[in-house]
Amino acid sequence: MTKQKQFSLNKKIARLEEIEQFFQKPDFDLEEGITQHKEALAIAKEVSEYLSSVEQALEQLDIATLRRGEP
Amino acid sequence: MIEPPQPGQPLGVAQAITLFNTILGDLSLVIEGEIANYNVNQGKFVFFDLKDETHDARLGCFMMLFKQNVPVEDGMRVKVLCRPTIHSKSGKFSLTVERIEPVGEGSLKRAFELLKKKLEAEGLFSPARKRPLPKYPERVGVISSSSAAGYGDFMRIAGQRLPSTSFLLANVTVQGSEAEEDICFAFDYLNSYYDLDCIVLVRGGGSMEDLHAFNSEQVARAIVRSKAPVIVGVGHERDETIADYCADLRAATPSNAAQLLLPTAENVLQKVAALTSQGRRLVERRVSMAREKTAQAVERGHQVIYLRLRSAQQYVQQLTRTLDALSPEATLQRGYSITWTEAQAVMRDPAMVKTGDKITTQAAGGTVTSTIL
Repeated sequence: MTKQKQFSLNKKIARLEEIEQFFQKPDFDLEEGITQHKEALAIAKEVSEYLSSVEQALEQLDIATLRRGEP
Repeated sequence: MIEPPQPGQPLGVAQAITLFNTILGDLSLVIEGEIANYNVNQGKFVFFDLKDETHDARLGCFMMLFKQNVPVEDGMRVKVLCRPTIHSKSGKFSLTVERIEPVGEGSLKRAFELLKKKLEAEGLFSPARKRPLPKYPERVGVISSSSAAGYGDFMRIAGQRLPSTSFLLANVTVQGSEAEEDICFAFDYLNSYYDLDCIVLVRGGGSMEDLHAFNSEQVARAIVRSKAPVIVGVGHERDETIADYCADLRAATPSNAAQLLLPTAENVLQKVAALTSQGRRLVERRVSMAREKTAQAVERGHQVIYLRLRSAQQYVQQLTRTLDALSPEATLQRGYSITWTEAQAVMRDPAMVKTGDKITTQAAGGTVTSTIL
């Protein structure tokens, strides 16, 4: 659970989409492009490693108990 | 609480009504019948009769409009949860209704249609109200019964998909008298205490009566006020419920809800690969373009240097030819000669020599020495 909180798949993919947007500019700076692409590759590696290591978690609430006001 | 009168002791009318109501007040009844003369007064008081067609009997009913949990109309068969009451001013006996439940497929269908029409008119089904679902949900609330087949189907398919998602099951009854309240409570509880990316409401198939809670106005409004977007996957593909219409996304079945909610890990990796490959392709293209430009610049440089050198060479050749043309040797070649005196001075004037002097004459082919006579 701690690992899941530290790593946000949404944020990583949002960053990749930002980088993709950068590459949409027809006159992007090549050196900046290389830096951004290196970052994208690093994120891709992180995502791949994360997805192969993480597991789904399940918690349960008993609504009838909660409705009765019991802890 | 009024004391029962002593035998033979008269009661006032008001006292008698209070006594009757005290006795009746303990009664909470469920009565089944057909609705007749349904009407709403002043936008808040509901009156109708409950008829028993076979015995030609009827009871007057009253309820507050805000308590009316399901839309009804004349001719519908219903069960009402009620308390009998005698009204002190009119002396009329009636039932104060707390809850109405349609009975039978026909009444359920009619209640469904009436509620659908009402909520649609309020804009609860409007596409403009639908919120987008998160692409990669991290925390998902599931409202269902842990023992329901639909919940099992949902979790089985979800388990094969995005591994980073965590689930919070709000275990509720999905059928019967508690279902409606449980589901509404679960929506409000999850939205109050948890920050969820999405809430999924699922259960397996059943008759219209089984799915009654999913056709309730209360549940519809709980879905609409949910902060987290809601997917509803109830029953089979052919089942339609009011909850489906209110959801941000309707899934055909609980399994389909899992499919619509969660991408697979492979889907995510494909997306990531697509996002990075574009950058690589563009960087490579730019590097290639830069290389090409550099090569072109070098080539242009070579050409400029070559042209400059060639021009300089031609200039030198031209100078050389001019110098050659002007050189004494070239003059000698054309047949001229140079004569030096004994003093090795170039003889420009015969007066520079006298008889007996020796002079040297250089021609192209060689020299000759002569004596002046």
